[in-house]
Amino acid sequence: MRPAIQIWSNFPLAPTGYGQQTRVLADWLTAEGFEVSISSNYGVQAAVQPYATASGKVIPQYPMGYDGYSQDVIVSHANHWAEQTGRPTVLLTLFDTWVLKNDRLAELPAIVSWVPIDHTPIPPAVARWCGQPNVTPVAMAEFGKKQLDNAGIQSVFIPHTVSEEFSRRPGGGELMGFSDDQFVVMMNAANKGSTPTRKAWSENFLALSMFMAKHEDVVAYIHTEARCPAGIDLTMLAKAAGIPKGRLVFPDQYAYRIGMFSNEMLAKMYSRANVMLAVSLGEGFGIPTVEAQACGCRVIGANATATPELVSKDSWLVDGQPEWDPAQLSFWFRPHIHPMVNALEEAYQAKRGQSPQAISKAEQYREKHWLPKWGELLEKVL
Amino acid sequence: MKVAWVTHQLPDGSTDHGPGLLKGLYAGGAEMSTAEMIAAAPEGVEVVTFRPEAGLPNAEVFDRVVVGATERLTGEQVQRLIEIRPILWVRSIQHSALAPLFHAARTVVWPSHGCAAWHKWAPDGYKICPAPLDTTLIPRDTPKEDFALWAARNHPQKGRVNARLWAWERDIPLVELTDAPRETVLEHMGRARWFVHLPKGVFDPCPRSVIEAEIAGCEIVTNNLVGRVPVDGPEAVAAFVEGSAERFWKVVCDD
Repeated sequence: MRPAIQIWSNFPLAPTGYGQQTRVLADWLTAEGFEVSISSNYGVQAAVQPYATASGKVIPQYPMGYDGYSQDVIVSHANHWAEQTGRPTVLLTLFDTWVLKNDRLAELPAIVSWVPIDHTPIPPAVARWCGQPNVTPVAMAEFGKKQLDNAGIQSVFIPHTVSEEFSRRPGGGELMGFSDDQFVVMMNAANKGSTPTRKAWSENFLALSMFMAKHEDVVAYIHTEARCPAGIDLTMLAKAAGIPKGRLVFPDQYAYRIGMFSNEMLAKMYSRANVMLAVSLGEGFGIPTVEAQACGCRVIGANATATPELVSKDSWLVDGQPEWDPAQLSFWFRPHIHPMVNALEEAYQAKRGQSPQAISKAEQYREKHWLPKWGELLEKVL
Repeated sequence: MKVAWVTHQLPDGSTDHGPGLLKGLYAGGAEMSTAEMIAAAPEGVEVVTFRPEAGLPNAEVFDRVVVGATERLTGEQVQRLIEIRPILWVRSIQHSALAPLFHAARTVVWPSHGCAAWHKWAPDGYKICPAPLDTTLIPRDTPKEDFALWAARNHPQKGRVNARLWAWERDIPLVELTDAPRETVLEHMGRARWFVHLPKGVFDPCPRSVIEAEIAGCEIVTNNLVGRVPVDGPEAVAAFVEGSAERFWKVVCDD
């Protein structure tokens, strides 16, 4: 009997990487005939809500719990879905696995965890989860698969994907408010977390400041919330880093807050950007890195965790050093600022325009190459 | 010689032991191997079994006490056994709270070096004795076919999904057998080129199925959660397990 599926992640319309991938998976699995529901750990409260998939079928979204990671409802929602469908249910988690602390999860017949691994080596709590008898880990990057292999844990590799909407499009300069003669550095990163800030905001902004000091025509567009209770005040950071006023802009904050930036609009902005600055302390995957390349924009990323396998040969990887993360009991990567400045300079001096290599690299992560593997996998776990 | 054998891993008269357990007289391999080891006691050795639930033996009337399983021992029984200094022959993962018993034991007998290594708190000195095995029914020299075999109880720990993933990655057909008669499993082992046992979440001390498959000439696919006999190759493995009961009873009688 084909299992029913419940995806535990952000709700599919959330403007997050998890939300986006949940939408892609829910849409595809439903179109393939699976009975799918979504157990939202972010974005849906109070009651079960309908979600209309791309094929038109409406599926239920179960609401968040009171617990910060919805651990109070995660098992109940899965059991309820199993009862509703009359089928054994596979719980498909797309989120950090170290938050999965409900002991009753061991009672579920099968869990598939699409697991981000952004430290070296695999954090003990993540390894413990992935080693549970009823858990099948799916590595979203070859880096993650290697960490699982090193820990002796069998896994499957299925990366995140990028939709066909991300392709070269004109009009991004107008959206960002920049003229054609400016060199645009773009960042697209969630402003979440303060200690540490996984997106290495201080290193990125300091590098930008040093780079901008050399070139008057350099501007930066930072696609994120400038001030977020769950993150840090990026306006104060920009000021402290010495970034000249007016040369670093954020999107319209209300429009960003209510999710008004479509994939098409993002594609336009990536297409206009001269380089994507995507250096961080660690990436389980890094969807914006691939999105930008799909639009012909090269990337500056960290030479650590998942990033190296995602970037084209004509993009740039910057070095750094390991930094201990006492929360995860493993190592982050602390990027060095001067290599970042050097990479920005090389990007500035390089031939402008779209990169065929970047587009070709991103092509490897198109949905059509990977989604069928989900169907094959989900038939094997029960 | 009179030997008291303390274990809960004995037939209870029923044939349906519940989900995930074998049908028939024995709920699992441990029950089967207990019966086989006791049956292999040499002439002159009388074995009397004791379930912990029914109380411990009076050690004074026995020459040796063997403890074959610890899971149902009460704290008080463990303390008494420490004084008795039994021979421990355990084939499952043990709790570190039992360290005093293991250190007091006359001899600790593990089924594999892997199992011994798993228990870092246990004494360094030990013997190795997997369960005895009648290898006469295991097919040998059967022409191999290009498929992989997984054969075990249908329990998540037995790694059925892991076996599927392994075979999927390599595009190898996988045959899955669960609750199948031993003859059926052995017949498949004779033909399968690979035997896949990739348990998940728990160490498997020395699975019988892996031993049988190796004797049947399969390439064995396991992970770091599987204890193996300390020899390689069908003939050597067969000889080792065929001699297991003799080695064990020598430990008991000579100790």
